[in-house]
Order: sequence, then structure tokens, then C-alpha cells
Amino acid sequence: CIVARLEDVFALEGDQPALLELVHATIAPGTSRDQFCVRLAKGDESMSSRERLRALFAGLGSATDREDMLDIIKSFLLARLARQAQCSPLLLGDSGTRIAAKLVSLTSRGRGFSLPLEVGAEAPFLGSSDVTAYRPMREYIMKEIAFFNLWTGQRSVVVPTFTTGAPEAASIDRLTEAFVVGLDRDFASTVSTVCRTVQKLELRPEAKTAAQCIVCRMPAEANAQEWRNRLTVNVAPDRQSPLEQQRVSTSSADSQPSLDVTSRLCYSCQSLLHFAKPGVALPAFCLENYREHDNDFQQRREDLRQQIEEFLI
Amino acid sequence: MPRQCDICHDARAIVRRPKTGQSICKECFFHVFETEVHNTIVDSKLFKPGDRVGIGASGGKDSTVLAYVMKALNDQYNYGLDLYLLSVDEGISGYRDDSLETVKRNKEQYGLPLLIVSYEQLYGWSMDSIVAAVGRKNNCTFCGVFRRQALDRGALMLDLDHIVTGHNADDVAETILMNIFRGDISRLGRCTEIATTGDGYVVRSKPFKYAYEKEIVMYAYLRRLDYFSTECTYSPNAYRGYAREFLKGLERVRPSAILDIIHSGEAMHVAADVQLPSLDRCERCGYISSNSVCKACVLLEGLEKGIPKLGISRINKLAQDQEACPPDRREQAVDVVHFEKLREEALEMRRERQRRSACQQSACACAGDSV
Repeated sequence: CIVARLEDVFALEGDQPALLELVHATIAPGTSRDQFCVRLAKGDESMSSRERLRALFAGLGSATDREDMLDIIKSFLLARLARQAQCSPLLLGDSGTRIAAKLVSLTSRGRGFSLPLEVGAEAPFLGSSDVTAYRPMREYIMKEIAFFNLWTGQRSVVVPTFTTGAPEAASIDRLTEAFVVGLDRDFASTVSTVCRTVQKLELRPEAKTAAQCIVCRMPAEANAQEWRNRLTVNVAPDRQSPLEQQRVSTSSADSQPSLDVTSRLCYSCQSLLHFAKPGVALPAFCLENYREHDNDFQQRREDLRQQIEEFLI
Repeated sequence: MPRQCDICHDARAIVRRPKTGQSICKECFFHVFETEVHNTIVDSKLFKPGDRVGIGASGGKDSTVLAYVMKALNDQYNYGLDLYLLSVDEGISGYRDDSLETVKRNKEQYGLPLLIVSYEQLYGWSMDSIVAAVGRKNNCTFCGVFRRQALDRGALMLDLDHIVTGHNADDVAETILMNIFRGDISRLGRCTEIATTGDGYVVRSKPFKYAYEKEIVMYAYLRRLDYFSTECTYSPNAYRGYAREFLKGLERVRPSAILDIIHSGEAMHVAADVQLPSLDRCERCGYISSNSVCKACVLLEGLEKGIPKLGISRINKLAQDQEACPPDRREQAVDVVHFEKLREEALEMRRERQRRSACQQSACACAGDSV
């Protein structure tokens, strides 16, 4: 069987700067909420991949964010392994209970835009057209699976995450799971009802052509930041423009210019990075995603340019 | 050491904002709250100048703050709206009497005209008599169905273009969660719309869609607004309580979760091949309905015939009940006014208004005098 380690996302090759480092985490009180700047960084050579992974998780704001990042990394690695082994249908063992809890938890984090991709019965995995994910276990609730394993002698382990054993209010995922399981106890068909509802949702037309978020590869909504700005006003009464337009001065020794990636992040990843500490280095795949889109974009521009070349003065 | 306001960096901070956790001063709080509602109104293009807008007023904090803010914004930004207070008297003694007194005080305080419509007047049944007939278990269904129709009737009586209700962000988020848990796909697709055309005649919208309930309370407290806050004496529906409890838990973990849920709800899109109920008109009263007879008429029929479960329980069980105790007519209901008649009267009022304003403008001989 094929194995990958979580820290592989930080495995860097060559000498080039290969990581994106978060420079400016906004929503410091008084600033206007419109900048997510990152900087290309070489990464501290003395740190091993595992240490970098730990630094990433330590730099995130809350248990919810850590679980979110963990999910993103696991999905990325699964997709990479599937591609390496050239497996197209990827079977995921999400039970009905897990899908129902995930739906509610994704909704609560603001991921409604990409829901059908993340919990659908059949969906292109992680936005790539060459790996399709199926979830054949969605008809079973968790208890049924547990009993099946017990009576047929299947061995299983509990894989601990950041909030295993923690009280309910530790993170959104934990709260949601406890809630859905409890609700299913009082209203017996809750899980199957929720799963059926999931199947009736589909992507919005804008989502099908939207750019991919550089962190989670889900479709990124076009106006997430403006929407937030209009509804979470940060401006004092007598001023017309935002009080602080602090552009980060790149005064560090490493004088790479900072890139504004606000439009390349989906709503939910904006929240995730907003609470992260400046200086947090994102996994290598973020840079790959950033460059990949750029290549596509450049390619499309080139195509367009060729079409109108004769008219350009 | 006293902390400075995070927004203006000038005055001393006196509250922590529930939406963002910022410590801000009173003036900044009023400003951000009002500006966000203004942004909501402008971005969704809710109103146009000259609109006659009814504020659904229950006397509770949401509707009191709504009346205050609508008036303030109308004045500050010149929306050009004619504002009215529209209140529904369900006939719940002890509870509704007190809240209606509050609405009457609001009328004086804000200087807005008030219309009160009551279930007794419209249907012949008050909530007290309904609960006496039905019991305490499904009474919320009656109240909700009747109130919706009552507001629309009141709006037509005043010839309004628009009704605004005080539904806040917490309400909308709870509704989204509730519809997910109950699998109500058609409501899920519609519940995040800020404005609904409903009847086709009067638009209904929620300017507070993105305002947190805690902030509304804070606003009412800091502005010293007069409102009535007690739970309805007939206990609230059980299912929404679960969604509410979950939402409260989420808010504690992450305050922005409420807005995030609304954002997700807005992004959800029902698949094209899913069957959605089509909207039709009730054959008895002309109200909008997805069946041939609207829910209100069905419920009224049940009350009249002494089959209180009509419209709530299934039919086979009903037949058994009927055999057990034959129905006796109550002769209590009034014939509901048909919606077509209400619409015609409203149109007539509108034409009269337009004629009168045209006359005044063109300074013709009949200017100013009325019918």
C-alpha cells in the first residue's frame, strides 16, 4: 500500500524559494479588511519538514482552523497519491453520519459555495478532473458500521485529531458532530434526511468557472471580501475612507515583494488565514496552486492576444 | 487603564462588539450598526423613493429597533419613504395586550401612523379561543400561518408597496440550519433571499438580515429604546429550539459563524432537476398557496367544523376521530375577505392618491379638495 506523511507537504526540493509566508494578517482593529499578503520565502533550512508542519499548526488561530488545515493537507496528499498511482475512482469511506456532520460544519464555516464538491456522492476530487471521488458508505450511519465491524471481527483504530477527547466547545467540528449525533437520537431519520438534502444541491454557475483557492483548491467566490466589508463596517463616523491603509513595508532582509492574494482565497480560507500569526509558512502546494493558475491565466491571455493581434496598434 | 475605541481611536471604549470582538465607543457602535443596515438596503436595492413601507411591529426589541433605524436612515440618507407601523393582534391576553401598548407608545415616540389588525377581526378566532379548541401542542402553526396572511391583509388595507420585518441574522441562520436538518429543500433555496415578492403585490424584506441579535439588543439598550420583552405565553415550537441551541454554541466558539452560515446559505443552489412546489392561488380566499386551498383556509375549516387537527394530522386518523365524535359547527368564524377584493380596494386607493397628487402638481381647479 502507498503511504505519505503529513510533513511531506513541506518537503522542498532545490534551492528556490518555495514557500509562501503570510506577511500581513488583517482585521487588526482599526484596519480595513482587505489585504492578505504573502511573500515568497526560502524557508529556514535548519527546520525539518516535521518542524515546519508543527510551526504551521502552532501559528493557526484556533482548533477549528487547525482541523480545517489538517483536512486540506490530507485531501491534498490523497489526491497526489491517487494521481501517482493512476487510480481514478477514489473511494472514500465517509459514513452517513460523517457526511451529515460535515455538511453542517462546512456550512458553519462559510464553505457553502463549494459544498457539492466536498460532500457530494460523486464529485471531482479537489477540483481536479482526473480523480473522481465516490462516497459509497453514505447510506450507513456510524453505529451500523461499528456493529458490522464488531460482529465480523474487523479491526479498526481511532485516529486522534486535535480535538479528540476535548469538550464540545473546542471547535466547530466537534460541536457539530456532538450535535448531529444527539439530534439523530431524538429524531431518528435526521442523518438520512440531511444526506438526501446534500444530494439535491449543486454548484452555482459562478462556482464552475471560478478560480481555485490557493489553499484548499475549492472555487473561490469573487466578492467575498467586499461582502464582508459591507457587513462588518470598520470605519469611524467622520471619516470617508478607511482609517488605516497600512501597506506592509517590506523592511525585512529578504526583500521579496509581497503578493496580494486576497482574490485567490475563498471566503473560508480568508477566515483561516486572518487569525493566523504573521510569518506562518504555508505548505508548498499553495505556491504550486498560485503558479498553476498564473500559467493558465497567462495561457488564456496569450490565446486572446493571438486572436486580436492584428488589431493591436 | 481605559481602553481606546478600536475604530476611532479617540473616545473611550465602552462595549465589545459581538460581531467582531472589537472594543468600541458608543458613537462608533451606532455608526457601524446603522451603516451596515444602510449597506444592506442599498446593495439589495430594496426601496425606491416614494415607496410606502410598513414596519411589522410587535413591540419586541427587533421591531422597535427596526422602526427607529428605518426612520433614522430614511431621514439621514433621504430614501424618500412613507413609513407606517403595522401590528398584528393575535388575541393572546396578558402577552399581546402589553406589547401592543408598547407599539402604541412607539407610534407617539417615532411619529409614525399605526394600523392594528386582529385575528378576531379578520378570522373570527383569537389565539386564546384557538388554544381552547386545539390545545397547546400545535397552536404555533395556527399563529404563524394566520400572522403571515394578516400582515399581507393589513398591507393591502393601507395600500403599501413593501413590508419590512425585524428578522435578524440569528433568525436567518437558524432557519437555514433548520431547513437542512429537516430536509426542506424548497425552503432552503428561498430562505436566504432578502426580499420576497410573495403575493406578487406587496414585497416583504428583512433589512436586519445581517444584524446580530445581540447587537440589536445592545442598540436598544444604549439608545434607551422602549420595548417589551417576554416570551409568548403559549410555549414556542420545539424544533427551532434545537437549531437555536446549536447556533448559540457556534457563536461561542466563533462569533463570525452566524454570518458564515448566511454566506453558505446564499451560496447553496438547488439542483435543476429537483421538484419544487409550484405556487398557485387559493380557491377560497385568493391568497398565494402551493395547494388548491391555502393553509389558513384549511385551518379555519378545521376550527369551524370542530376538527382541530385538520391541516395538521394525516387524513386516515382524522376519519377515525370524526367517527368517534361527529363535528359540530362553531359558527364563530367570519367570512374572510377575498384577496381580490382587497387588491381592488388597494388599487383604487392608489389611483386616488395618484390623481390627487397629479392635481396638486398641475394646480388645477380641484387641487387640494378631497372626495
